[in-house]
Amino acid sequence: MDEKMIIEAVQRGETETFGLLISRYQPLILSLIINLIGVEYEEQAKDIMQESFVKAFLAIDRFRFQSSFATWIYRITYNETMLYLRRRKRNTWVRDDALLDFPSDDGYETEESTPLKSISAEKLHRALQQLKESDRALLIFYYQENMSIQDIAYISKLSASNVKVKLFRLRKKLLKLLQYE
Amino acid sequence: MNKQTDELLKQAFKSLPSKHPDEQLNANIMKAIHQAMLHRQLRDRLTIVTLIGVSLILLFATVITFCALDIIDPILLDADFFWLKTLFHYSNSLLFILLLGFVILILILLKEFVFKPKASSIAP
Repeated sequence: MDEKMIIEAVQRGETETFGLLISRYQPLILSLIINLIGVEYEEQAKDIMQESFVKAFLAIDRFRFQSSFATWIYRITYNETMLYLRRRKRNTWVRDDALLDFPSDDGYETEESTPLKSISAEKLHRALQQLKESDRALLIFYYQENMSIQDIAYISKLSASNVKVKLFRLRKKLLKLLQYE
Repeated sequence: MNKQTDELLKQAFKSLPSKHPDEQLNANIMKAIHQAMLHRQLRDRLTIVTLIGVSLILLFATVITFCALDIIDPILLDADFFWLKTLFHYSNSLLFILLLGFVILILILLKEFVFKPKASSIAP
């Protein structure tokens, strides 16, 4: 069943049809939240996902197909995740000791001078842990979810040019962290 | 930035934890959605009842004020005291405000619950 037809059916009141959208997006949304808040918070990630789907359902009559449903649900999920992270006072991702040892930010020539041959998942995971959640989200949207700059801008409520600049800086920062790992 | 590094990063990001479809999780979400729907229906009904109640009170107050003014208007108009005339002036304003409030509430009721059917308020 076409996604547009599913959404229109839900908007007409066929509530159960929303289940098709849940089945389609549940693994993607859950993976995204877990990568944002940490694998050790899987239960919380499930709660955030549930809340995101409930909010999406309650607001679906306001969905006007101006963006794709994927982008829309990602935006809701992003907001919910950031809300959760704000509530969770202590930041479990930023390791103070790691930040203290982090090399200075001057000069971005590291990548060209010693190019990376391979990046393991564990190494990437550790490097991502040292970034701010909102920064990590941008990288995940771009590299993992293969989203366009416009979609990322819509989800993160930033301008497209701001997203580009941020991604450029974050990529360099990430590469530096990966080489440091 | 070279494209090779970009590709390398893309590949690395693909290896981050990913989840598989979970039917039980989907069922739980649908359950939560049904509960949220019931909650919203209840809230909508409460809002309707409250709005109708306030509208009726306003209508009642308007009628009472109108009747009271009908009786006391001649007395107020004939009065020589300034404060009585001022009271007359404000009484008419009160009547107008009450009527306006009533009309606004009726319009809100019509807009929210008659002309705007909500998809999610229809029972599964």
